[in-house]
Amino acid sequence: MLPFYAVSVVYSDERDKGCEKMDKDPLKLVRAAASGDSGAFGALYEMYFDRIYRYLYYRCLHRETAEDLCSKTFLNALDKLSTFKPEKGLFGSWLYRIASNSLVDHYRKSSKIEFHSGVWDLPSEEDHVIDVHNKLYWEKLKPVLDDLPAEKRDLIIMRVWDELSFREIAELTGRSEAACKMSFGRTLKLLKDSVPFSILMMFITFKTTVM
Amino acid sequence: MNINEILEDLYGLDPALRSEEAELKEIIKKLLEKKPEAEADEDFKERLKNELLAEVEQRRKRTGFFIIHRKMIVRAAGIAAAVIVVLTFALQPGLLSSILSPNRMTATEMADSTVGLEALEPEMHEAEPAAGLTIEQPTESRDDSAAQQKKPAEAAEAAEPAAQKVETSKEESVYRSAVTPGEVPAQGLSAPAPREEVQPMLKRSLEKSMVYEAEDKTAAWGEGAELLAGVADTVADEQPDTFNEEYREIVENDFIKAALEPVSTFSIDVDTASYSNIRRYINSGMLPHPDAVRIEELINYFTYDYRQPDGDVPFSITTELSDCPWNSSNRLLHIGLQGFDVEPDELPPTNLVFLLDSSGSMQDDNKLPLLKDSMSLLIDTLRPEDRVSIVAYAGSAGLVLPPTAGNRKRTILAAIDRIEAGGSTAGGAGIDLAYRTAAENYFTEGNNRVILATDGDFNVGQSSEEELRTMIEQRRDQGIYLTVLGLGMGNYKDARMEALADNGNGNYAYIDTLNEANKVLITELSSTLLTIAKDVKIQIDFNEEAVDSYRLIGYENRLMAAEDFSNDKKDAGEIGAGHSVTALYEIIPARTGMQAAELAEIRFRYKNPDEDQSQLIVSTIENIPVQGSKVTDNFMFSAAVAEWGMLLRGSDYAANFDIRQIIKRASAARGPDPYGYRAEFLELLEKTDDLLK
Repeated sequence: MLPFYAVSVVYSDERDKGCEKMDKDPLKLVRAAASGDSGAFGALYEMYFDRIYRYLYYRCLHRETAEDLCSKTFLNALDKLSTFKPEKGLFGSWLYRIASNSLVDHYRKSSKIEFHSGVWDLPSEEDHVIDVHNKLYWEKLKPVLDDLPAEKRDLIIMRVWDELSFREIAELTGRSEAACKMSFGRTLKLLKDSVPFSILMMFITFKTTVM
Repeated sequence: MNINEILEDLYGLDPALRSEEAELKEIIKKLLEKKPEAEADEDFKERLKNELLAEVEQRRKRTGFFIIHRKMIVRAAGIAAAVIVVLTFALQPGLLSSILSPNRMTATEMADSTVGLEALEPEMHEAEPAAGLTIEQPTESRDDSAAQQKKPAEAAEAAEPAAQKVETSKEESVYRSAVTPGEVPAQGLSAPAPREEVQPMLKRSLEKSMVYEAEDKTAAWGEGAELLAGVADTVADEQPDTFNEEYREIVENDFIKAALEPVSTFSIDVDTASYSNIRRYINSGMLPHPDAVRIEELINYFTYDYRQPDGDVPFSITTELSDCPWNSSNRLLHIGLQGFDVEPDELPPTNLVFLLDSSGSMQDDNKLPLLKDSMSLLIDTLRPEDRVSIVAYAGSAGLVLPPTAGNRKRTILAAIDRIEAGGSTAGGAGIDLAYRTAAENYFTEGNNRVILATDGDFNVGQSSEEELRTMIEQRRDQGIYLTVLGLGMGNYKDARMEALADNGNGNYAYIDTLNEANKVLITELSSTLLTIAKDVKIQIDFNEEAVDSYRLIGYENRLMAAEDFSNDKKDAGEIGAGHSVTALYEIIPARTGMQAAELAEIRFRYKNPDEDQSQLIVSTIENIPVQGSKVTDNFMFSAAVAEWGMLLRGSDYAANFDIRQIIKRASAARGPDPYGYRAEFLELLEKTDDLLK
């Protein structure tokens, strides 16, 4: 196992710096990988695989689908590695963007769609497979998150589950950091006032007190 | 996952959230508890890695092979092309010069361009977006797929040229990835006409502004010449009127999509200098330099009929929404602040230090002599409890009048009379002496202010200019504010003077006539001298359900980052007693937005003059436009002033403006106009019309 794999899962500038110290600056790796250095590409893969996999999984809740999309994402990234421009943002954001596009392609039913947060966007009655062990979460959370517009729902998932920084979210969604923060704050407020959420809160408290 | 970290990030922008911290924490905690289990299968991870690495290796081999071959092919093609060229010209020598002169190319370059690397390297270019799709990086793969998706549609609309289609998708992609407010293009909106299609009259004004640009370049050269010859003033006097004037470039605010950037933040501005400076231009038969036009200063030159404040807040707030007078499909949002009024008698004692530039460049009639007359007007209104000192600077700085009580008018007037222009300017020393004089006579309960009157041509170097700025800021924090009065023409340093006044919590006015001196120093004495609220910031949070896009008119130099709104360390504009501040937003309503009840939330932050902590006011603006005769004169008149400003700037949004319509609307909305300022504006509009013809 490579040494940097143990570095905190939270992606941040600090992590980039930390990598630099270990001579594993993602930028250097990207450049080397683009010129055909398979070792560098392998290092990048180790660095980002778990985060990208989880990003995809949180949005499809199905192992095979997540694996399929993950393969597509990395293959796509390999294809386009030479077009990555560091002055336009972090490599991580770029990779997430590709993952997000794979997701859109997978769930797209009409050509007009520009954004998709996976199963969360599907109407409840639609036929889709969810891994059994996560079914309970899905059934409890779906009605809560259903009330939110797709972008806002995904913003919550990105910040809370994916642990993306606001900077990364901004680069990923093409909005400003301030707009993302603003929108996140507002969404929290919306959740606070939403009826299904209060039911969920009650359910959890009830469950814990019983246990 | 650190919940506090998430929330701290939000408080910077919206401190009100802090009051709900406990509940928000609970929400995030619950969301985290429900996070699905998402551990990847290690076997899969390893398998995919191996597959990918094999792929990388394979590509490397292919590309390596290809690179060698590419070089050979390119070289061969180059040689072939060179042979063809040589043969052609050997047969027809006359062709050689005609082709080589406009387009000098080496044989290899020709090979690149004629044979075309694209054709040779499908592999290398595959990874790049299709031709025409120079896509912003993060959108790449999506755009590729979007382009593929579009293909059937394209086939259906075969009538449309394919190239045009590609162009459209390029625009879309750029638009989607637009990040900062200034960069959002107005695509899909009531798009501005390209410059080539600008009306003839605007074309002329553009041509004129090009002349100014040329003059600016001469000016840069001219400055060097002055230093060498040491005859600065005589040189300047012989040049055209705009010679040597300096203006900071203004990049006009664009429409911003509310869905991308719902929040707009700016600092208020009470300066009025731009208006009188433009008046000077127009009255001398010229259109102003486009960057001399700061639309917010034109609008704020006028007072509006806003209600007086009540309660604890030192200013009242008025908002009005109606159809945009220059584009009926859009709306215009008018925001007005009115500071509380103070009777001259109620003003606390004033400690004024005049700092007069009496260098050689100030001897023109419209400079020092005008200034002396203006000061005489002001001296008349002083009271026994007020103190006046005068520092003149030219060559060396000197105290012309030690602090003197306001009722000793003859002593003061005699001192003013003695000042004569001569020598070069030592601005730094003068400002230093003026501030020291002000500090020695500091009124704890009064106004302490240095009034700097100059044409802006200080002889301070780059480093001392920075020191100057620091000193002005330090003195501001001690309670001594700075007002800048601009005078004269031909050597006018607009940008520097505005910056100085801003650093000193002050205002900046341009005096071109005695009438203007009367307005600035007498009529608006209280607002010039008594600050009632400082660091006033405005933030509008547009409801994306009601607003598609918005555009702040003017205030380009006053835009702030959203997070600076709640940061009390970030300096912003001051508002004086009786002063009004007006801002306009042009709004493109959302298509479905007719039903949305709320247009925007509007937030104000200000500090009381002697406090360091800001106060917050929040209110909502309803999405109900005022119609017909209910539209106020305030609304229509300020809109007409803004239109005039856009026209003078050669704004992208002014392409279809008809100045006769502006005149019509402005005269209909003239109102009481006790001092005749609005009548004068109408005259300026007529003169502008003549100049544009």
